[in-house]
Amino acid sequence: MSRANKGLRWQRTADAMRSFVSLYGSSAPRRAIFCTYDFDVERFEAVLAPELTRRGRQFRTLVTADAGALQAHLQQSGKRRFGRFQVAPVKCRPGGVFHPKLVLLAAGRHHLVGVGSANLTAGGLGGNLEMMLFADNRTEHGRRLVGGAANFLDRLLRHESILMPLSAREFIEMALAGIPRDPTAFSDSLKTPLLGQMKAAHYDHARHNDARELTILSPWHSAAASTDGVDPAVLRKLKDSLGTSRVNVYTEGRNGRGPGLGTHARVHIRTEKISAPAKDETPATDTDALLERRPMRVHAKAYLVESSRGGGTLFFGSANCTQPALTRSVSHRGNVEILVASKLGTTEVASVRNDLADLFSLAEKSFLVTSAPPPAQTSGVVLAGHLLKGSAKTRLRLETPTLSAGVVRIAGEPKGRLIRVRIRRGVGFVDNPADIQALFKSSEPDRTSESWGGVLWERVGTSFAPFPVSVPLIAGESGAPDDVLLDFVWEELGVWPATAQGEASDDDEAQDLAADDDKDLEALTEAKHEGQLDRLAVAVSILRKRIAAADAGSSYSEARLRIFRGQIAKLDLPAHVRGVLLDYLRPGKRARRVIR
Amino acid sequence: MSRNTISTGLVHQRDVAIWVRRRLADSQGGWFDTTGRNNWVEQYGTVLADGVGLGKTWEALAASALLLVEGSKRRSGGGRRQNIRKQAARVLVLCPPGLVSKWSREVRDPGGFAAHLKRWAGSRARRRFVVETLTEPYEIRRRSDLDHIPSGTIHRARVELPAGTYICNWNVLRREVGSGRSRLAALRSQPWDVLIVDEAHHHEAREAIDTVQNWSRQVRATLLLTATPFQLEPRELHDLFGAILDSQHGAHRVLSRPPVREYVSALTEFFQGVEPPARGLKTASENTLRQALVRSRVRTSGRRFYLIEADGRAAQIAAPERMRESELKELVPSLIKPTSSFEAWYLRRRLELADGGRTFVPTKLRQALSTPAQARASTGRRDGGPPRAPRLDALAAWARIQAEQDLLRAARDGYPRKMLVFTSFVGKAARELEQSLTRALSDAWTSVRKRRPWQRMAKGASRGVAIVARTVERMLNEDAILARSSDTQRLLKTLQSMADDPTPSLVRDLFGQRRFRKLVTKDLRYRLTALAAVLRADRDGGGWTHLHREELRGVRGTIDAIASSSIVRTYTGHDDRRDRDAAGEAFRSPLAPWALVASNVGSEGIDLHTFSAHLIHFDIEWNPARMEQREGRTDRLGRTLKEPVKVYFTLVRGTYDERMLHQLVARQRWHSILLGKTGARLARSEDGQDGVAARIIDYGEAQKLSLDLRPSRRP
Repeated sequence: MSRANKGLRWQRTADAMRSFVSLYGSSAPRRAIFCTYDFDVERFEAVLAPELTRRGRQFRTLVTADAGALQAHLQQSGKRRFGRFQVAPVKCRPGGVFHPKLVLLAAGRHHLVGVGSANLTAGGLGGNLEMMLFADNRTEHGRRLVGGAANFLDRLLRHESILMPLSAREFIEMALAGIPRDPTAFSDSLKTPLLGQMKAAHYDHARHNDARELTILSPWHSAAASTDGVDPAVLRKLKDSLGTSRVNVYTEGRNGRGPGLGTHARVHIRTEKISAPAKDETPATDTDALLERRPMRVHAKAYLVESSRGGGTLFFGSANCTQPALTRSVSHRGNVEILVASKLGTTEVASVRNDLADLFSLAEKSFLVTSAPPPAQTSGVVLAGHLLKGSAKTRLRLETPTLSAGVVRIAGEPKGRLIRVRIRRGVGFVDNPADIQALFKSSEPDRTSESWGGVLWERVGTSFAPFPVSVPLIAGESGAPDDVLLDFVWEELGVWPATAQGEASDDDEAQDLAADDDKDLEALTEAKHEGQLDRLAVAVSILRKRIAAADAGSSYSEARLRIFRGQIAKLDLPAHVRGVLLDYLRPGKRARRVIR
Repeated sequence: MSRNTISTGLVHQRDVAIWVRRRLADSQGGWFDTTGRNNWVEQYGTVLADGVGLGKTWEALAASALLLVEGSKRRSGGGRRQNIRKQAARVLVLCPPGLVSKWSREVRDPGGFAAHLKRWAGSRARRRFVVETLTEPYEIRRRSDLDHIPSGTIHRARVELPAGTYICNWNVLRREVGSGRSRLAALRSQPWDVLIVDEAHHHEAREAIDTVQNWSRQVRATLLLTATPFQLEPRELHDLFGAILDSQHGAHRVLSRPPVREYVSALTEFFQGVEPPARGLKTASENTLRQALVRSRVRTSGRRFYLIEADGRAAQIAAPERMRESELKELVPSLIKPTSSFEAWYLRRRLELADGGRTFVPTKLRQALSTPAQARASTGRRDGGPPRAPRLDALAAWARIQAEQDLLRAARDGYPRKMLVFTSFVGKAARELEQSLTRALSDAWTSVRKRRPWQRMAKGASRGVAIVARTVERMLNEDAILARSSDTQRLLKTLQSMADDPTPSLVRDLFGQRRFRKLVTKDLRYRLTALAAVLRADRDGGGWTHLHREELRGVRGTIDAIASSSIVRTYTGHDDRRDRDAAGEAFRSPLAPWALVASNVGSEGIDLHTFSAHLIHFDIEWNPARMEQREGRTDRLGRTLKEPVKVYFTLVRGTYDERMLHQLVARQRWHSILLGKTGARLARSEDGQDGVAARIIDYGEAQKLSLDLRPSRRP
């Protein structure tokens, strides 16, 4: 649902993704990366996961969420199993939280990027007033944003204070392969605080330092244990730093009152104005009326810096108007945040202001601001677990990046049977089949089943702390090398996850496949019972063919080849076999004369 | 012996012969044609589908004898009597070119079937003509041989060839014949009492049968002989049945009859996870199918199967038709582990083939896994071969170890235990195998020579050769015609010089063993008797005796082969026909060669069983029927060795060989059930998806499913 007469377009978060999938969903490989602070598993499975499925074929999906928030959610919800996606908790070591909200969908060479304020929660997916920017790589602007998102994720992976499961890192690296990076599209708090970057960006846009008015859209204590809010101290810092004379704050009120943010700030709070329809308009249907009713809870974060010569710069993204978000970098106990800067003309500024005026009204009374409660912190040392399915047995690998050696005790449910796991170099293994059985009660997550993840519990003192366990998205260490490669090929062919028989069985799928895909599928099926060397060769040959056929420039092919070379280098293969495969996938290597 | 039975010494052969006679002729001697008394009125032939090496030749000859006697009777005035005019019977045997000599020998061999036939005929005049008809064959190897057949008589403007048995290379009848009164046209249009077609599953056979059936004035009974009536799928039976059922859609009349059709589809469903077919359906299918096809015995003795490993050891495995998929996976670690340089080469080659489309990929991969020369040939480049071939190396290592054991055993008990190696590729591959095996066997002998039992035996070698030479000399003195032959004199000289020359050799050493000497003497006596018969026939002359010269050449070749010292020989399509026949003959003798490398030409029809103990599938065929035929060369009735045949596979781990094995096992399933391998444990799919399966069904269940096609006493 959109109403494009104003500066902003109003629709549900899932709508943009739905239209991208329906337009480009037939291209492969299909991958999705979500960054969120709070993650509501049930809501995600109900709302977004179906959108990421097209005719039984799925996007390989990774959701990175703040470790503390995720733990709090898992503690509260009764969810014990996840669907076919991987949940990766992210932890900022110095003390901030992982707060960016980013969506990156890839279908073949098509990409969709979404950046803004919406978490993967009931609120973010429909209940809150959020602000998101979605763009695909058809336009120059879209390509810049995709490059910006890739650049941010790259930096995130490299940041020494960010703790993230290895398999998630691997998957992100693979999904980003071949995307040209753009370091200027996004501002993030990984190295330096956002405030300085905002000032520089505005100066860059306006070419002189004359900010006239600052408009802030930010939530106010919208949830009890939230990191959201407007900090009066930060407000002052912003005002001083940007040199603005006036500050307008648009936020959520309480019982018709706005927060008391000082005399220099005019506070507007969210109200619903029911405007009578114009006479020439057709009466709205019930659905329209329903859709027209916009959410009350404010969760969007935006900063509009107006310049005295007209026009201005709009910053929006995940950063609330708080100290950890704007004035600190990650290394200094700041949050991980992203902002996108956009240069607006005079009319666009007016449109945005109109939009805000439409939704908010001036608060005439105020209430006293108290400091917000601190965000949820993780307890326990286990970040995440991975189920590695070998040819003989299943192993559970625990990652404890904050504990290099020691012992942890885990259980399948709170107060369940405890299993001691010895940790060495930040990793521990559960090898005993009986223990695995005790942990998962015979329904262990499995690549061939509908459930790819679940929750286990770590004993911390007298209580239990949940942590997510999943089958790694990239089979890498689990399974035979040929199975791992086959998994990539199935994905390249757009049949992921493969069915239990390892073949595309759906009729619709068959119709959707091109003639080349058919040939490749046939070759794969034929190789099913061949020896391991044959299976490796067929899979790698198809991979190279597909990458070459993507026709997306040599840098794209080279980057993707590099990723696959990296994956093959990790496989459990004899050196001579690995050598031949790596040589075959060398970028720029031309196919040898083929003897038919 | 009753009128309606004929004994060949084996019960199952006798049963089949009686059953055929009952199916094709009634007790009154009338042929079943269109009398309407049978429920199978349009049948004029039957398929004899016993397992390989169980004497289908004798079955067919015995059945022919019974049929000829029935056919020569006629009713007159309420009684039956023999019709003298009808005693001019003609039997046509169509077979592949390589089997004409074998058929001729089987028919003529005075100690073989002819002896049983003569005993059955006794002094009864009404049976004598059958003996004459069946034991003095005309051989037609090529078209020109027809010129030497005695000219027939003209009867009602048609040429009638003399009565008798004509053993004919089926290619002669497949070619363009032309019209007129040529002998070929006459052969084609003769009324045949019995038409026997060997290896009838070949399409060449089908073409030849069509020619005869289209042109002949009458074919009264057709006997199709094949151990593998279908190669891959049961529907191939249609072709066979078309030749014996008198209707355009004759084949459908059997296979598409409700019981059989329903049984096949019920079995298909069973393999996909549905309930097994009902018992009544099975019995009905058996009864229907048995009218056209009979299979009295499936296998001679228990074969044992082994996998050759890289270090030359052999690990015993279950028979392929008894394997299930999970067992296949367990086998993988026992396959030959290739060297890393070969693995790298193979992977590069496989990548190349995967890039270049899929044309002929399986063939090229099979070639790549064969010998180094074949692998090089598969690349199309001169320098593209692998450094070593894992299969060949493993085979050589195994052959060395095995030969050492076998030679030591031979030193104890005197029995040579020979190796028969089958390869699908000829030319350089066969040559490489020959060289490699020669080296392995020589090494084995060199090592065994140092062992005490062998040294003890070798001491008596000179004396042993001299004893055999004296025996041969005595045989030549007894028969003047043999003494005059330059071939026999050459044989004698070879033996005498071997006795005088102290240079040791593998074969010469063995002459020190008493039982080995006995085996050699027995073999030479058999061959010299045959030679004498041929020479005598040649001397006596006659219209067609020159045809025996082919046999004469074969015997000469055999003597050469015996005298020669090459311990490994080849039997491939690249070899000259006479050379390879001689190699095959020599392989059956206790002397050299010790190992024979055979290609597909050697995988059907011929006998290589006497002393062969080990059969090696150097590569696997796609077709289980062909594998069965290969094994049938060794696993036959009449083996001198009494221990079970050992069958070996050489398969390379991680390569296309795994696929070949998988396919072979999967295809055995139909063979097992439809051809009545009651002992086979059958695999059944649990998920209903995969071809071969997860759960093995138990013996009882398999018994319930397998069709029993043994001839019943009441047709």
